[in-house]
Amino acid sequence: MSDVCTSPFCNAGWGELLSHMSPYGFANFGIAFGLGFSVVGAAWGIWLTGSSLVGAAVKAPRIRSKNLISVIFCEATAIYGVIMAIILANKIKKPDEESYQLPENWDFPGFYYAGYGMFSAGLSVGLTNIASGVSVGIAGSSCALADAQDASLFVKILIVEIFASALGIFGIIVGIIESNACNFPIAALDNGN
Amino acid sequence: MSTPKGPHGGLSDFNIHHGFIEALIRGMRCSFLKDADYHHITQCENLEDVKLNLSETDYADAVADMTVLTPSDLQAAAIKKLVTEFKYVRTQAVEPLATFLDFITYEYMIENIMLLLKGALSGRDINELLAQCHPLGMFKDSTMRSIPTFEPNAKGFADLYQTVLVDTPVGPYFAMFLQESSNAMGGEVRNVIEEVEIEIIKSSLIKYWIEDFTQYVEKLGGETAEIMGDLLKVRADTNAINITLNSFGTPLNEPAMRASDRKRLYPAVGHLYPSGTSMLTDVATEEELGRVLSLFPQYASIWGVHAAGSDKSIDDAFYERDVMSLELAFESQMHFGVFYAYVKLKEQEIRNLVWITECILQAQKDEINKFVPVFSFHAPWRASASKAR
Amino acid sequence: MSEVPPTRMNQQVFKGKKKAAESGHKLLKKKADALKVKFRDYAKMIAETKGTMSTDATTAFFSLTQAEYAAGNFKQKVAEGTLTARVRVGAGIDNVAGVKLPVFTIYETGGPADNQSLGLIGGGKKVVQVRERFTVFLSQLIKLASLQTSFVTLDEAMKVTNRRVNALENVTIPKIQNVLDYIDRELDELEREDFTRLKLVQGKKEEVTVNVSDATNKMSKLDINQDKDITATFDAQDDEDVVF
Repeated sequence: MSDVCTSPFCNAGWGELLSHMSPYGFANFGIAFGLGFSVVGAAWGIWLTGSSLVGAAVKAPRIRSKNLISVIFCEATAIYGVIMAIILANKIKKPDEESYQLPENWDFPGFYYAGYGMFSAGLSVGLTNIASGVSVGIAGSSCALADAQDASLFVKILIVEIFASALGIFGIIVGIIESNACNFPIAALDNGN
Repeated sequence: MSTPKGPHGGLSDFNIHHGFIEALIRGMRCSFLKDADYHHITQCENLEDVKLNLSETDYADAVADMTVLTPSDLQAAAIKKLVTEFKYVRTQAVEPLATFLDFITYEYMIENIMLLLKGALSGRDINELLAQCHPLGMFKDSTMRSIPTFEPNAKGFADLYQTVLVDTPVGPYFAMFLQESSNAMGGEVRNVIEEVEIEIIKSSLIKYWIEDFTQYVEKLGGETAEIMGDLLKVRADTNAINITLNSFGTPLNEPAMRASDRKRLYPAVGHLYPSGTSMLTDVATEEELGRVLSLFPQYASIWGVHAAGSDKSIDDAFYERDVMSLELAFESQMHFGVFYAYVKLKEQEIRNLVWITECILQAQKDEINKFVPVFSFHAPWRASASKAR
Repeated sequence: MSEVPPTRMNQQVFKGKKKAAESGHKLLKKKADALKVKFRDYAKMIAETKGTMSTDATTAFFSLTQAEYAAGNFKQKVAEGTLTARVRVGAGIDNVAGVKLPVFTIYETGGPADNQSLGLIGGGKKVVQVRERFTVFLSQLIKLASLQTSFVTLDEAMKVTNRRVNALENVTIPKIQNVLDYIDRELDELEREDFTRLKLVQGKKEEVTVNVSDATNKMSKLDINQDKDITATFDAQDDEDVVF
């Protein structure tokens, strides 16, 4: 980075980039992170579980359908992300009047609040879902191994998995609450009122 | 010699490469004979009944085509089964697990090479020798055949040295041993092979193997370093104690030999190293050994078994402790220790089967229960644990 | 039997033979008895040794099983190693009533034990135990081998002796006895014949003397012819031997 860009079209740095980003951009990034991280978490969990499940099923084939529940738990993590993404996506509303510039009396605090709120809602769902997905995956992998040895352990470890899965739900609950207050203004504020 | 190509991963990324194999080996854990199986087999009156009972266990295929069951046939079939399983796992493995699994086989390779060398010196038939080799420690057939074909002269031994050293993974251990011995003896390779007893060469090589394996495991890090490292340490200690104990009454216990030869056989790893092994060097009688071991709580109890002089020998005590620590390796996930533990526990099971069948064959019903069952709910340490609960 | 000419001389010879046969019989009988006693001893010892040996064998082989449990399979290592004998078997000879019996004894060569470090990594104590048990077993085995060989030899010797005793008792002595009886009988017969002949001669003589006394006076020439006739009329062929 020896040559610093001096052009007026260049950003001075990350700070300027982030502070100049449109709330719409933040909101959409929020959706992307929420969905993307959830899917990463789910996928991670599925291969953690899946590889163990496949291996353990070689010697104990009876576990193969029962332990699909672990995979479904991981899949649920992705579904949380999808749900959140749909909720958030429905909240993004474009302005009624299309113009190149927002009017002077536009509700800028609400506008930015909605953008940042949705970004963090998406991020909180996404990050919790990564954690949840990985932990469900590890628990699911152990579950498959344990079930292969002793069928009575399946239900017990499944409870552990449910708790791991609940982590994702915490994320989605908080995310929904966060995003509840986020309303994109669609028209300029009435100056008189 | 072998550096791991990176750690094997922890809780969240171990399964990328090794999840399937680990689950596989854990699935195979089901194939161990259960308490009930042991109970049935020990109740048998003859080997026909044993065969019948075994055909309801995982050994069904192994005993299926046997018309008459003999202990040695059973042993061969069981080892064959173990080797098949191991090879299957080995073919599925990727680095660094692949090298880890290879390390397990080096022990058997050492044994095979020793057998071939000694057999060749006494002029045995190569095919006969090959049939006796442990199948887990086989090299390429051509390598195996070339080992005993050297001429019994200085040049032939140099050639052999090259063959064994270059082509086999255990070569470096031989190199280290020969180097060390010829430094001590000032002789040539031939002298070393002819003059040193086969068991002592083997012990030295096993020592190098344990040290090398420990180093490798340390590099892998994580759970493996912890669990497998402990297994190897225990193994090293067991060897050191056994070597000391079994050297009593042999030339190895002579004061001059103690420091020069016996000390060299103690592995440079383990809980006893270095303070314990240096104390063991000066031990000349069983009482002295007992005194040294009483300083190490984990071995004091095992020594207690030996000192009590009951019909349980120190070997049984060691086996019991080994089985316990190997079983504990199965209590943890995402590490390589289970692979080693599986092979060793299977070996114990095969030993048990041979023991039981021999007892039945020799009508020694009183002795039949003196084996160490694997994954038994009646194991002493489990029994006391469940009582505490 | 009949070939033996029934003479006094032969009678003496056969009497001698009988005496010799009888004393031989007595001696052989004694030998047979001695052998029989020894034979019984050996049989008893073999039974005892076999009894202890079966337990020795069981413990020895079981200790091998124990050692293999502890030290792994070490048979090959022993077989492949160079072996020098630590124990050798010596052959001696025992003399029982003139029968030479082979005796095997165990003796240590004093050589150092091979494979002393066997089971160094584990099970060494058990291997030592195997060594001890099998040494005991080996000495038992050699003892048994010695006893068995002696037993067989003794059996053979006893059979021969018994056969001789029986042959003397049932064949030789009766045969000699028969010959003696025959000679006795024959000699008696001859005696009786002589007696009869003498009687006859006497009778003839008396007759002749009567005739002579009667006729001397009448015809003295005939006297001489008469005398010749008496000897001429005796014909040995007329009187057949009585054969029993």
